[in-house]
Amino acid sequence: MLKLENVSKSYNKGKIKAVDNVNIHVKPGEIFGFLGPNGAGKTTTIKMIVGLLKPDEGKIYIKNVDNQKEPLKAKKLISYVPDNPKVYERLTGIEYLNFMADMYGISKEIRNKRIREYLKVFELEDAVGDLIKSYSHGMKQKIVLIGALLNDPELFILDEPMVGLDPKSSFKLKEIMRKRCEKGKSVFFSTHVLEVAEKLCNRIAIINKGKIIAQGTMEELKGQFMNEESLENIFLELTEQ
Amino acid sequence: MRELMSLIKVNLNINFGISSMKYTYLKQKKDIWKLVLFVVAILSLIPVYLLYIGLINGIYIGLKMVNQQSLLLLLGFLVSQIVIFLFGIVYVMSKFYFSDDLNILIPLPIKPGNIITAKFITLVVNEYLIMLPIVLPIIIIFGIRSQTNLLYWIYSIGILLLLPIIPLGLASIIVMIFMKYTNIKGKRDLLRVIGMTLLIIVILVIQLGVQFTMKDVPYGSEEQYIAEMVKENNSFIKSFKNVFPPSRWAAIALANSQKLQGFTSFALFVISSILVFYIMIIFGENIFYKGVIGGDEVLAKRKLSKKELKKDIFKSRHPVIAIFYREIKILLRTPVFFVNSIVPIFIIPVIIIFPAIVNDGFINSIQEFYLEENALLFNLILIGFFIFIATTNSIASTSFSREGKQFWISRIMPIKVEYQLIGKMLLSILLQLLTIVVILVAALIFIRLKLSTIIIVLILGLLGSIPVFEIGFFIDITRPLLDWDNPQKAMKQNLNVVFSMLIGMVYLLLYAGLVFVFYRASLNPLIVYFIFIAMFLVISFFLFVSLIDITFRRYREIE
Repeated sequence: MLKLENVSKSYNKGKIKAVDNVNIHVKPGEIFGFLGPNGAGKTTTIKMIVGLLKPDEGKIYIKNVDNQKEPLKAKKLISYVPDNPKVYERLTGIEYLNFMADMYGISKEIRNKRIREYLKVFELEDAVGDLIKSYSHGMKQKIVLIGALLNDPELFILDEPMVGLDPKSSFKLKEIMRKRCEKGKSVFFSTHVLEVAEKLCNRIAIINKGKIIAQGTMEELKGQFMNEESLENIFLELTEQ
Repeated sequence: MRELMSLIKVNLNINFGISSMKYTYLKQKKDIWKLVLFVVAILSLIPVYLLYIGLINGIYIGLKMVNQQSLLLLLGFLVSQIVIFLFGIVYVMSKFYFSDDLNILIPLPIKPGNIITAKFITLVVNEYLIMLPIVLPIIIIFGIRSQTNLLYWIYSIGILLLLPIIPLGLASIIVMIFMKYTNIKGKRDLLRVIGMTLLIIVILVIQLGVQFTMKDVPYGSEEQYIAEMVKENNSFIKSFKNVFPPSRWAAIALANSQKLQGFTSFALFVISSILVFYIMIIFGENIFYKGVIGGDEVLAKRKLSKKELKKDIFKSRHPVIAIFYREIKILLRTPVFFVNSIVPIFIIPVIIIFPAIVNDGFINSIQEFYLEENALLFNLILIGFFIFIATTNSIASTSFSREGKQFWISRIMPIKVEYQLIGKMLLSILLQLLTIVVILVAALIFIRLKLSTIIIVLILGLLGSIPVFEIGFFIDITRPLLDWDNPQKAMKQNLNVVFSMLIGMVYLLLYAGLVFVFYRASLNPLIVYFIFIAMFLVISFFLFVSLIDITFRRYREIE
């Protein structure tokens, strides 16, 4: 579903290597957790996957579509929720959702069904007529989430999705992620919350200083680190170095 | 005191972007050309400024003839205090009411008075930048020419430092009261639009007023004229002198610096400044600060019923149309964008009509020129004028910058860039159409335009403006200004507007050259129009094709 091959990216004319020769493979029907300390290169990697940053080296394939060669085709397959939801403050919630639906070319019937469904799930029905400017941080995040779910993406990419969501919404989101995977679609998300990753993810990659330092299922990771019980301990030991 | 100093320091730092300048110019070492450009821009203003100094000098000599030279000081102080007051209203609004730092400052253990003082002093420093260029030459010329003593210069420094306090303090008090009683249910956007429109109108009226009074001044003998005017209008000056006491005190203090009267006036000026400052602080603590923590700004909630929701889920639209709607909604709902794009459309005709009303000859000469044999030239000039207006419009040259931090959405959308470009272009074209219609309607009041003129000018004015907009797009996508929190930055402080205006002017010059050539060749008017239509279309097409290419590349590259 998603394949990163030897992807690198550096800033300040090569002085700072933000992402260094990263290889990741996410299979269909998989929830993939992307972990790492602050500034490890998580957001940079995600931005390259969704086309907001151009990799210096390497290739990124989404369902075998090269996202540099055929960006539109790749973008149609994914949707993206950034860590900081910057949305059009001067549009109302419903105007934003309609706009996103137009961008993904979603028919009236389908958008009607999905907008209602997700507004209900995230309890945003009452606020959808207001300007996004008046929303709280969590509400803004929810409207971006709904906007990203409208096109029923093959690959759902989220950067720190749990930050700022209330427990109920966070639970609902996890449920949505699981359901998507049952349908053979994939989810790729970064997080700090190790418990979430441990419980939710089929597979995990840990990135530190731009390099992938561990990748695999929870069992595989535990097998590699015999004496470590939890993901937290593995994470701490790996990122110590 | 330490707390206050530190607050002031941080406020000034943010206000003038000192740290961020250091970071970009010294540490990142990029965009240094911007700094150079800024210096060049300042230097290019020197000739105009010399003219101003010459004018001051002339006025001094004129007033000296009738022994009224102190009037110069009075005028200088009065004008700068009025200017400070007007700018102050806008500054106070943005510094006190539309800045986000209060969320950080209020929870800190800082005295409210200190927060207000720090903000106020930052504004005072801001005002120095506006006021000093106006008054400094006046004080220096007066000082040198009247050969005063040391006290004059000491008083001058005191007056210069305190000059903004009274008008700015009054502006603050007025704004605070205004905001307290009008800020109901998030109407502040509307207020902002009204406020800014008013400001533009005031500036315009002042400009036109100056023009109007200056038009009788005989060139070369301004000094005599001023002396005559002062002599004839003695009563006018007397009433004038009572307009604003603080300005008068400052002027008397300097004009009589060696006398006791000078000292008492200076003392009055200082005491009244301090008084106004304290009153402002009291108002600030009681009205402004309490208003902020009282949560006066709750937005009205509007719940959509099921039926309304159904209505609001639109039919699916073509991406071009959806983008066009997004652009127009955001433009209309963001006050800064609205004021800078829609308001000028209605002000331009006013600028044209005003001199026409003042001066009948202007209309007559146009009417006389607008004959059958000149119709071609007349139409082409009018088209050129519309192209000129297109170059001054900042909509196209900020199309990407205006998206700001939301630009990521446009970049991840699975939409062809040409669709996005056309959607944005439609907005520019619509506004240009509106401009042309408004100007034509205004012109019809004075001149009986032929139907042929209206049709030709409408079509060619629109087509001829498209390349100008494309140039604006080109520049803006090459270096979009996306990192802003205040929309002001995207439109008014965006150099892309200046660049695209300059290149637009080159395009306009080429047009003018062609008009000259075709006119000289005395071609059939119809052929001339067709050549221009064909040219505009071809240029637009080729620019658009390369625009698609560069936009596509920039969407991937921008970081």
